[in-house]
Amino acid sequence: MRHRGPGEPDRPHASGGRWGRRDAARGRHSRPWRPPYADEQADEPPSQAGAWVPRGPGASGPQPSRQGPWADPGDEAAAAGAGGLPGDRADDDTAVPYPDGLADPAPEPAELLEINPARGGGEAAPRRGRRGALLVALLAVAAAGLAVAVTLSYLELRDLRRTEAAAAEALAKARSYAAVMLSYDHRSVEQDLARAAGHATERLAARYRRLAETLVPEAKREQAVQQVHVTGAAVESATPERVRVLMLINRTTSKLPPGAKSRRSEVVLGRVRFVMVKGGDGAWRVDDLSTLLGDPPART
Amino acid sequence: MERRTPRLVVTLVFAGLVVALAAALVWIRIDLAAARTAAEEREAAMRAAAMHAVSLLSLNHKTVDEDIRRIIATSTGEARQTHERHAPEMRRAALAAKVVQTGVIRAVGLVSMNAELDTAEVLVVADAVNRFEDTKPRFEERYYRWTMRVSKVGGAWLVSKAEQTP
Repeated sequence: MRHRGPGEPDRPHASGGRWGRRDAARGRHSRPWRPPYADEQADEPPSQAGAWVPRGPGASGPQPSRQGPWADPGDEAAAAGAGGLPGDRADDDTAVPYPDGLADPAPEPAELLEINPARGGGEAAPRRGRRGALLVALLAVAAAGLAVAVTLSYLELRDLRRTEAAAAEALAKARSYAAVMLSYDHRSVEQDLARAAGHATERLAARYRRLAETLVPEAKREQAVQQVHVTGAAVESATPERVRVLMLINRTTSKLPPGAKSRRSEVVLGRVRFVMVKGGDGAWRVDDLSTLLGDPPART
Repeated sequence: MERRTPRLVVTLVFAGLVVALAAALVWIRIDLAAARTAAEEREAAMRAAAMHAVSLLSLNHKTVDEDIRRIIATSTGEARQTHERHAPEMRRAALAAKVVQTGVIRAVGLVSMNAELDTAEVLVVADAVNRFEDTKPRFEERYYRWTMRVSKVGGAWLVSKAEQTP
C-alpha cells in the first residue's frame, strides 16, 4: 500500500473504502472488523476522517506508528506486530512513541468501537427520550391551556345562567312583593308597613320606618286605603346578585278626609322600579324602590 | 424500559386529559355561545323597543315627514300598518297645532322572549312634553306606558306591536 506523500490530499472516505481495502488485502475476512458505523463514518468531515490517513515520511505533524491497524497489510512488520487488529494496537504505540511528545491526534479504533455504538443506538435512545419528554411537555402545556379555557368558559357560562335564573326569580318575587309593599289600610297600617319592611333590606327598611312616622297618622286621619295591582313586570337589568325590575302598577286609593261626607277614590296608573338583591341566605329582598318620576323633559 | 414505561403512562394520561378537556371545552363553548346569543338578543330587543319609543316621542311639525318615516322604519307587521294608516292624520295634526313633542325614556324592561329568540315582549316607560305653537304656546305633559312586541325580521329587531298599557 502506498502511503500518502507530503502535500498529498486525503482521499475521501467511502463506504468500504480504506478499511474495506485493507481487509481485502489481508484476505482474512471480506469485511472482518468493519464497524457498523462505517457508512456514517463516510459522512464524517474531512478533518476527522483525515486523522485516519497514514502519513508518509517527512509529513508534518505527529507521525502515527506504522505498526498498527493502519499499517500496510503487506508490511511484514505491521503484520507481525498486531496483525491489523485494533485490540493489538496499545503495545505498538508503547514500542514506538510519538516524537516531540505530542499527543496522538488520531482516535483509536478501539475508541471508535466504544464510541460509535453510542452514536448508533446509544444516542438514538436519548433522542427518543428527548422526543418523549418534549411530547409530554407539549401535552402538559396543551392540557394546561385547555384547562384554563374550560375554566374561564365555564365560569362565564355559569355567570350567564345564574343571571338568567336570578332575573326570573327576582321578577317573580318583585311582582309578589309589590302589592304587599305598596298597599296599606288605615286600620292596619303599622302592621302593613312592618310586613313591607320584612321584604326589604335594612337600608330600605329604615326608609319605611321613617315613612311610618308621617304615613301612619295621615292614613288614620283620612281613613285611607291603598291597593296596588301589578299590570306588568319586566327585567331592566340583571346580575346574579342584583336585578332591577320595572313594574306597571295601578294604584287605587280611597280616602275619607275629615269633614267629607263620602269616600273619594282615585286610580293612578303608575310605574315603579324595584331593585332586588340576593341576601346571604339566598332570599331576594327589595333594596330600593323608585316611582320613576324624574324631571319632565325641558320645556323650551 | 423501566424509564420508558412511566413516561408512556404519563404521555397517555396527558393525551387523555387533553382529549377530555378539548371535548369539555367544545361542549361548554357551544352552550356558552347559545347563552351569549340569548343575552345579546335580549339586549337587542330592548334597544329596538327603546328606539321605537324615542321615534314615537320625537315629533316636530317642522320635520314631521322625516319623523313619521323614522317611526315607520323602526316598526314592522301590525305596528307598521297602523303607523302607515295613521300617518296622514298624524301629519295633519302635527302641522295644524305646530306640535313639538320631546320625550325621555324612563325605563325599558324585558318581559319575555321566545325560545327561537325572534320575538320578545318589552315594557317601555317614558315621559313627554308637548309644546303647541299654533296660537299661544302651551305645554302638555304626557306619561307613557307601552307594552311592545318586538320581532326579528331579516336580522333586525323591529317593533311589531305597540300599545299603551291600561
